[in-house]
Amino acid sequence: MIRKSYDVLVIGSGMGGMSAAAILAKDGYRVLVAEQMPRIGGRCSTIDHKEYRCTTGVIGVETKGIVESFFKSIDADFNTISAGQPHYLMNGKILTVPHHAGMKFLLKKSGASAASIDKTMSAMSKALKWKEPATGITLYDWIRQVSKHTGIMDVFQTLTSTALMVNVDDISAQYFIRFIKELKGLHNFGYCPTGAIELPNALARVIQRNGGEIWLQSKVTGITTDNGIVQGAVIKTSDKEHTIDVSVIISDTGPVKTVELVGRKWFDRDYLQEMTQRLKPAEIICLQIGLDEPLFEQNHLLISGAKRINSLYQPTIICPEMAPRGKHLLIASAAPESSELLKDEKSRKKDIATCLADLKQLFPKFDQISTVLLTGVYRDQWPGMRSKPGLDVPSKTPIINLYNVGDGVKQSGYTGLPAVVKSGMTVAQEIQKRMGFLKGTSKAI
Amino acid sequence: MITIDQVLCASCAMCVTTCLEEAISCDGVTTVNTDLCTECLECLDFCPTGALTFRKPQKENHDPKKL
Repeated sequence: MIRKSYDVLVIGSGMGGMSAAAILAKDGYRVLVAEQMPRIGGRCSTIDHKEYRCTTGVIGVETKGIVESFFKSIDADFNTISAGQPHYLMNGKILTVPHHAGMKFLLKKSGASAASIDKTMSAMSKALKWKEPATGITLYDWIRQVSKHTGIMDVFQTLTSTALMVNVDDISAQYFIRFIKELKGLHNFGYCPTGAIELPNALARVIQRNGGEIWLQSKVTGITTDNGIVQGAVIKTSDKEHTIDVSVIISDTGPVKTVELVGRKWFDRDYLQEMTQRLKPAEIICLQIGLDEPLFEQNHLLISGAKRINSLYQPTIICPEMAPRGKHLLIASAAPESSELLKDEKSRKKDIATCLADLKQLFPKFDQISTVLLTGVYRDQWPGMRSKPGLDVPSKTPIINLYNVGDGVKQSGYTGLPAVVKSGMTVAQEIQKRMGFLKGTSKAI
Repeated sequence: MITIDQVLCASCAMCVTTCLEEAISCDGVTTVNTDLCTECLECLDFCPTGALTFRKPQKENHDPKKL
């Protein structure tokens, strides 16, 4: 049997792995991406289901930001149509949120007194411009110090659960302020007309154009090390087992799985302890629904004050190719009642039923025009994000030349797809800096 | 027959989309309708958590009884 060798093995074809693979392949490294499923992209992918282009996770794609500039930098196609102005559904009315001073606008519509709104705004402005909140206080408790109005809290809950996939009592006020500072709001996103899979597909073209390989239905079953340094991996395909030599491994399967692939005994106890204590998945409920006609005119609505639903998307308003002719696709995202309860089957059922009840209550015609396509809970091994914001682990593992990428190793201030792409870029740049001599040699150091 | 490990299953509903017979449903809990399932095993490849497995029905034990 021939032992194959590569400079870099990427485990998993999610956007973190594909981003790193594209940069390194373009720079001359010999790259292999091993994906266990028959399709690429992981949670940034698309499935044709009942003639609708359903998502496996990613709904909107950030535009005019890090994802777009990264794609341009490596000559990858970035075909995303802008969703335009954000809209908000509050107290039965659809509001167009201005790009400038959107927060103040929303608080004004929340029904709270002028004094409460002023107090909240000045606390926000002080936190952003002068001194951020102390560590240890949740956003919920921090807001409650200023105002106890439920409408105000609902605005924050909608923002945190949509953008950061956590409830307002599950995130530190400090992290939220840093997030607002760095991302400067929640504007500028769009949809890929062929679905989110368009993004990993574009990166796959870059990888393959530059001599990289992508293997599907290829499961990495083990990572071999020597003296704490990466040496190779075993990849199982349908008919055989391949033993490959590699110098660097980038894992996009999540830090926990990465440890399993090497074997726990090769990791320091403090690393394992930090991983177990910090890594808690951020969960999200995602409903995909076929519609005979649009439920509302806009392509995206942030929802305030519903029991579970926090955001509704109708990508087919601007990308009609995602549904059968004349039909529309509705994607509803929702925050579960609590992470703890999600472990229970009955509670998951109840959460989904509550989401559907929310839709019925918000839009009386919902039942007449809708067909439920998929109701999924993204949690555990298929989460919204592998770690809650601010509780990530570092990209580098205790094994030399073994890195993690993806949403378990996000950098502060980043969330969702931009965070994942950023993690791949950072690891690729680190490899370029440390191991420039490696390019194309395929020899272990 | 296809069995689901409910501890491993996240109920992400990915398997639902792979089944041409519409034998799998998920409303927070994933279930397989064995009357509709043709055991094509397509769903196994798409389960991200490894919760789905195929088990051959156990044959009846015809070993002679020992005294």
